[in-house]
Amino acid sequence: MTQLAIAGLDKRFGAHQVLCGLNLDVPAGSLTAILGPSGSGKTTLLRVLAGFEHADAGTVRIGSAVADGPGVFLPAERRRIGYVPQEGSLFPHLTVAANVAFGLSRRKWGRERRSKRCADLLEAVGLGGLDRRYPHQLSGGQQQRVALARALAIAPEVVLLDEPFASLDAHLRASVRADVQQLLKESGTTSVLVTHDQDEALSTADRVAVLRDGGIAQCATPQELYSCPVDADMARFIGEANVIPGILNGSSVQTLLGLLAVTGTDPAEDRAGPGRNGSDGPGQRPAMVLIRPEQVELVPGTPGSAGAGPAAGGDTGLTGRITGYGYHGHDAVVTVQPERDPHAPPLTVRTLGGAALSTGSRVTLRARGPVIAWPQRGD
Amino acid sequence: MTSSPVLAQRGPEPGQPGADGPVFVAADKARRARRPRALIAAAMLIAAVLALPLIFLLIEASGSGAGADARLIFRPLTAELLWNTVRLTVVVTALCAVIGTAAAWCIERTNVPGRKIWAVLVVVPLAIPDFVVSFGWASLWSWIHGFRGAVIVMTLAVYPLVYLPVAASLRGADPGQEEVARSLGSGRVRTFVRITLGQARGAILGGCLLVAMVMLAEYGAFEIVGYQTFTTEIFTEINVAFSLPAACALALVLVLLSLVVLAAEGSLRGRGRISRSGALAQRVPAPYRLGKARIPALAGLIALTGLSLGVPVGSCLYWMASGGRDSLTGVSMPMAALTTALYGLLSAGLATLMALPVALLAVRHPGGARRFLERSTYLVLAMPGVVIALALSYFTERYLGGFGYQTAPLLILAYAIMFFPLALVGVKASLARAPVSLDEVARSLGQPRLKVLVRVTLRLTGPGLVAAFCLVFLSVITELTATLILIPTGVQTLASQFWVYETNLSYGQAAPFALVMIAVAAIPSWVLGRFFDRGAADPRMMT
Repeated sequence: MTQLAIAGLDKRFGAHQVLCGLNLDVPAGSLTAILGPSGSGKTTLLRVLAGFEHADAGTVRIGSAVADGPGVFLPAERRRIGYVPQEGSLFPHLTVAANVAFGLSRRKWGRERRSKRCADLLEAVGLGGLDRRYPHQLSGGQQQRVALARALAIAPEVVLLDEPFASLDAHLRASVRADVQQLLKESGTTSVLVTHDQDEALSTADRVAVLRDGGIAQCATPQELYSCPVDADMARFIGEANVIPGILNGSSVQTLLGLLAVTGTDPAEDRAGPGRNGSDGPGQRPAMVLIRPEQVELVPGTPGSAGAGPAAGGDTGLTGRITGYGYHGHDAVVTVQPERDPHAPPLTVRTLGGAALSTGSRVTLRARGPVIAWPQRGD
Repeated sequence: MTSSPVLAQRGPEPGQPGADGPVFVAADKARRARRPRALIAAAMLIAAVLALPLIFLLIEASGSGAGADARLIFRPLTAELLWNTVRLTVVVTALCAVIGTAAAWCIERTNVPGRKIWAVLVVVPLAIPDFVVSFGWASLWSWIHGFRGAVIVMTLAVYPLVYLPVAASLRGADPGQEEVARSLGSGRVRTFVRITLGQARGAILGGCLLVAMVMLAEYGAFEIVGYQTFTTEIFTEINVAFSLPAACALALVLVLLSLVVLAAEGSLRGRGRISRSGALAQRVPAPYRLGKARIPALAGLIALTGLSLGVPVGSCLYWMASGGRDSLTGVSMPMAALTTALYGLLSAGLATLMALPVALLAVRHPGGARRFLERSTYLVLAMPGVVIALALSYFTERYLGGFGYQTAPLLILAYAIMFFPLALVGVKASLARAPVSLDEVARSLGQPRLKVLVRVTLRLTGPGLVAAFCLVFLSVITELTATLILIPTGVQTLASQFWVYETNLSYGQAAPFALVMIAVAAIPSWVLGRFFDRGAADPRMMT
């Protein structure tokens, strides 16, 4: 069931088109991350959803009610949206308890039920007993939790979180993030999280929607997004990627790193169906191939030397020289310039810690399939 | 964290958004943000009220015919008044800039002994009305007279207007810039001129503007030292010669002069803004070691406070002690104090209330036409009290058949118009500090706009509103010019009763009124000092 449905949303500021025909469906009870670089319009989208900005065109549907659409505009205070802004934005003149109870009207709730709910919520976010404190007496992480409790207090249709962890210290971020994730899951509240941090989006959300050029370029589970990006740009945006040319032939592709099996191909290709551009016809076609750094195996030395292991499947692998080496403890990221083609972009390889490798030494690379390939268009 | 069903609990509120009440339906074509109509209407009404003085001056100027106006303007008296006013304004403004900046630097940045005490004492003269300073000096020494007397008296009375913003700006300035300049090979003097003064430039200019505007508007102090300016002459035309057309003609010239000062300050200020890079923690710079210069610096501060504070207060005490009871009678002190406080409270309240919609519009809903609306209210800055009083009395006489003339509501309205810019500055500054995101959160939690204003915005701007209120209150209780023109018959404020005694040379009876005025004004001054301490570098914030 869809809790939040956005269709054909346009928003411009003066001559600057920020959102352009944006479509997105958020399933009920899910935590969806909207991921995009800064300036991509994430916050604008959130502000339109919350009712702080009016859309120029398109529809926003919250639950079963149209919140913004032709001839309809539901003001922010009538949308039942729990909004958690970047800095938490607690009311500095109110206590923690008064902050949480802000949206609960005294008339409808009554004094006792109101303070009970407030105490329960604070207990739930792990801040029981801090109800008399003022926001400036709380740490950054505590402030964010209070902000979340305040948003959940009104039993919102959707919770909107605008980069809620960006202002926290790195060591605090992970724990607050996990707590918030758990809390949102328990409450079963549909939530939309806006972030520019890929790690955050992939590790926190059930679904990730990538915002690009004013629209959603891809919306999928984190696993799908990483393993089956819609195009090379998306692949580079989500994690590290080697995108190299190759020749696609049926279900395999010939590349610099040898013949590799191809999975799933391009989702867009599937949707487009057969016949387009002769995609399912026989013959060879140029393609761009995605190989993630962890799909490449690195062996010191050259195939002829003693250090190199036996060549698998008769593939001798690709020899190259190390041009960069970054050690991260649990693993190391190595950049290798293929010897065969000195002008090709260097390949990025992730290896598990292990032997110290020095810049300039020769290594052999082998890729582990299957890989993703996008047929070249317009040739 | 514990798992709890409370999270999923539904409140008594209906489950669907927008289930209760009508949905706001916008015109389909223009799905734009709703205009804050009520705010715009209120702001337009206020702008119209504030424009009243100028409108009536213009009506009068065109009504009596260009020829008559020209005859009233182009006469030797005007040239003399112009020369008197301009020369005094320039000299006093320059002196105040030097003294105020020097005092601010000594107290904020050097190791002169007793910095904390000086920081308080140097500001206190702000609580002493200019005409009391003038009275204090001129009643003791007869050579305090004419141009020389006016320069001495006014410089001592108004230099805190430069000191306050400059001190605040020096306190907020980034000490790193000076250190960088020194490390780049710039000497101490060069660093002071290029960096320290450069950082305080906006504050110095802002202070000078205030001084110049006070100089153009001052009446009482000049009357006492016998120095004739536009304002004193306009006052004489109204209250002694009863010649409204002549007063109006002179007022036009005075308003033009004020506009010239405003424009000059605006162009000098330029577009540059002082910015601190990054959100660096505020660091207190090490005080500059004066060495042997400590003694002259200390002597300077002692002399400054002695002359600006000691002489007027001492003089009042002297006259109170030596002067016996006179045959003159007036209203009692408690009565006058009560009237003054009442007028002060009501006009400060009115001015703050008027400033609120204009400031809300300017800060929260900026836009081309609305910005113009807000800026237009600053035209009142160019209206000295005597002109506002003149315009209002002229209006009541001409269009209302004298109805309302010399009544309390008219006087309170005059005060509110006169000091509206002060209120607007305070309200705007504090509104700008209350983050919009808090309003948005409040609305997303289901609170309608008006409730958000009361529960969040006004609560957060409270200190700024109090500061604005105090600024207006302080100005009202020490106001003399408009008070003398518009005060209801039979009623006296502290200032007007003081004036009655002073002009009749009953110094012994005038002095207590002056002292009470100082005491009453000291309270809001202190509150204001606290407000400036929290870092409002530019008292006008005319951005």
